[in-house]
Amino acid sequence: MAAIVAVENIGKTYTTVNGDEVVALEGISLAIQKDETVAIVGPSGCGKSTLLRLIAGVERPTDGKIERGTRDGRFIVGYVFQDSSLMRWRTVYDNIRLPLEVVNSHNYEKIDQLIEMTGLKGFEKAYPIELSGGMQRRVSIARAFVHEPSIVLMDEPFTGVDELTKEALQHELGTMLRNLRATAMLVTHDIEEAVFLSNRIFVMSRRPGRIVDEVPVKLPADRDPSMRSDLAFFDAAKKVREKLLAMQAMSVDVEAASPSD
Amino acid sequence: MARRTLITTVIAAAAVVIGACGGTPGTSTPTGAGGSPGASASPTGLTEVVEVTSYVGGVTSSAPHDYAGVTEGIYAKYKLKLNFVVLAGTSQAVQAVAADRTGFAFTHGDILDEMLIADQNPDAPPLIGIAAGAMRNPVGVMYLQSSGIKTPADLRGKKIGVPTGSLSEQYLDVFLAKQGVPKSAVTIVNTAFAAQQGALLTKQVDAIAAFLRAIASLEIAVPQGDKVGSFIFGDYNLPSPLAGVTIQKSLLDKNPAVARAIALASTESLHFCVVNPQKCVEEFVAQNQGRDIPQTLAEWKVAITAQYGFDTEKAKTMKPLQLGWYDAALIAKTLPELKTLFNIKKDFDPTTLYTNQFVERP
Amino acid sequence: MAGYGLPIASFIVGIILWEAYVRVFKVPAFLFPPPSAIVQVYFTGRIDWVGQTLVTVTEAIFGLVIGVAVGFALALVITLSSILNKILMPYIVALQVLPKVAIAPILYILLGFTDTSRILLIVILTFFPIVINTTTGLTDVDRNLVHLLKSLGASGTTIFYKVRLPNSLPYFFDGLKIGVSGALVGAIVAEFVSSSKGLGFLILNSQYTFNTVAAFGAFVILTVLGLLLYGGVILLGRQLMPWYRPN
Repeated sequence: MAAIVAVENIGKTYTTVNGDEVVALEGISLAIQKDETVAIVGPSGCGKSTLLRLIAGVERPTDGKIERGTRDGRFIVGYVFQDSSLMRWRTVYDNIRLPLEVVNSHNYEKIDQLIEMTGLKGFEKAYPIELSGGMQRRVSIARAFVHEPSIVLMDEPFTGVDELTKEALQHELGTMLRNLRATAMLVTHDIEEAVFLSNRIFVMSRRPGRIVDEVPVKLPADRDPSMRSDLAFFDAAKKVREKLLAMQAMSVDVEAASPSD
Repeated sequence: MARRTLITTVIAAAAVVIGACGGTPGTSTPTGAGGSPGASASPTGLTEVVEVTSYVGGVTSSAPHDYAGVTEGIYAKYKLKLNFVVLAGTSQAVQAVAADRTGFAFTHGDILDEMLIADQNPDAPPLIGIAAGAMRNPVGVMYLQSSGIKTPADLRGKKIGVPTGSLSEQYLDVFLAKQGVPKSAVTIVNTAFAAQQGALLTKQVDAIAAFLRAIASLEIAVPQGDKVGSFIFGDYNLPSPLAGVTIQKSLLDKNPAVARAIALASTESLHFCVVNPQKCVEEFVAQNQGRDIPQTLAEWKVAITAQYGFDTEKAKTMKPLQLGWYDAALIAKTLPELKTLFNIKKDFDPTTLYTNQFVERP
Repeated sequence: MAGYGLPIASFIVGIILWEAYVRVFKVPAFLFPPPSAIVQVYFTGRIDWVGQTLVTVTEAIFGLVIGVAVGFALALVITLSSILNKILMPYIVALQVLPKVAIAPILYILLGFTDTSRILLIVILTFFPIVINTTTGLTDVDRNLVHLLKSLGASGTTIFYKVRLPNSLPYFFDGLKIGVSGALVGAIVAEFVSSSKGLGFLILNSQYTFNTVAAFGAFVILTVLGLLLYGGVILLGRQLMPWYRPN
């Protein structure tokens, strides 16, 4: 299996407006294979979103390098953001079409296919303001797949959605990832979401962001909601949670020791 | 598609507006003008139409005859095209003539303003009067009798409305001093000329210092049972500011034909308005909408008799140019008084302040 | 429809109370004319209401159009060039805090008593909210959208046309709403300082002979004009931005 993305020992340091240097990421190495979904779980502020931007090529790492395996000689990402980030001046159809315009593709059948898959049929001409939060997420998911990206990067895609809708959306997304044979990277702080959707979970620490553990998810490739009560589901979730709790205890100690922070 | 159509409509509408704005205000074609058609010479020898700015003080109050003169075709006859610029006061209008970069400008100002500008701004271009106007002091204090004012001494402790910095205020200072009322004993309320009468009638001030013609409007609007009283400065031996048509001296030197045309047209217009007050005021108001005709006419009649000192019947027998004659003896006597009263340091030769070269002795 | 009942009733009652007050207390018309007298003033034939209104409207719209064009161009410039942004910023901030009508008399002295001065005053009053609002709209974009387009290899120009420009539209319209009110204020102030025509001149001129009712006639027209211009901007905004719902 060829790696779509291979991240080798990268670091990212920002300079704040005050001139202070903040190390956001340090010594991160990971590889994402074709057709798999990996999840990154960590406390907020650990640099998860930064890692996504580095992989997307929107920002450059300070150290290390990122190898991007190309399919058909190109590397393109699909992006799902935590707050849909739709163009409010475009209809559902035109929002989904956006990536095709930018990469100069005319594969409009794909738009129709995704509208069908995401249950947006009949809403093609609606503007984002006319849609519920859940529907807006569906548009943003369809937009991430429409140009057949090498990898779909998802940054907390279901934050702020009510629990029932969230589970339905997670199921739909999982089905899409499989049916479209997509490679994906999911950043989330929701442990159950990471377990349900991914094949492997990387646990990240905070300040600086480092990968502290990798947890495999031993569930069948075809996931359905009933698996949420499988032993393997609990097992993976438990491992991730224990790691996160251990880090939280440490950071509480650190904060208690340095009240000025 | 609908969007695009709308945008196009907006742009088209804007274009119409832009086109409409560029045009100059429609001036009526001269009718009954003496000149023959084409580029023939006017009575002053001008062959081409000259554009001249008329600075009008007191928001058009000071120049009803100029507006009527345009309607009557008098200015067109002398090959002048007037562009009116309206300002709040007469002093402002005289300053605007001094500041005018083209020099093709005139106003109904006075010799006192000429002297004040020359005294205070040595760099200002010298001004000169070319046709006389009111030779009697036209400013006064007006009040309602219900305020209890009977003599000038009663102004003590009262509120007087006058535009701060105006010539009227300066005359008021002199008047009060002569009457033994120190300025500290009255309260001056800065009141624009346009707001003075309203302020008096609503009793926000007890008196106003204004041009005499204002009394006509006050008498019409005064509530029943009350009466308007006045102290006209001319009656208290306060010298006149010596009104007249004022231009830059350089216009007289470089383009005497234009200066002459202004003198001739403005005296002829004044003559028309003295002889035909009703028609004059109607034509004036038609060009300055918002004014009330009966009140404007009443004001103008006051101005003719009390300010200019003309008699309609007598004026009919006079030639227009005789209305513009400066009384040299009066001016020679008045200048020293004005110098003292207004603390003017510079010395003036009267003949540099006015000229009778275009007008005729009555 | 029910929502409009109370405002309309309130307005009608206000007019009736006004008329009654003037009649009962015999307030002279030169102080406070009753609504009935104001209606009559439009039919006396002495005043060319259409002509005078057109003068003021023409000035206001002409100045507004230039102000909007200048404001929009300036917003583009300061958004696209950080150097020009820094060079122009002190002037923009200084003009922002200055009560702009205060410079009206100076404008006339600098540029002469012409239409140019009148229009310039209106331009100064209108371009300002356009610059500020449009700049905000061009800058205050969803970072994620910019990242999305960058990740797809879009150029800065593409991002400008696809994200910044459409994003600025509601902000621009908010600026335009302030701008139309400013245009009328500018036209009236300009006419107060010096002019021979227009509703501002009419108001000033009518005060000289206590023709207060004519001034009130002008106030009513100005109110209607303000409503029409403001309403026009809102309608245009709805046409161009069916996707936008101001709260």
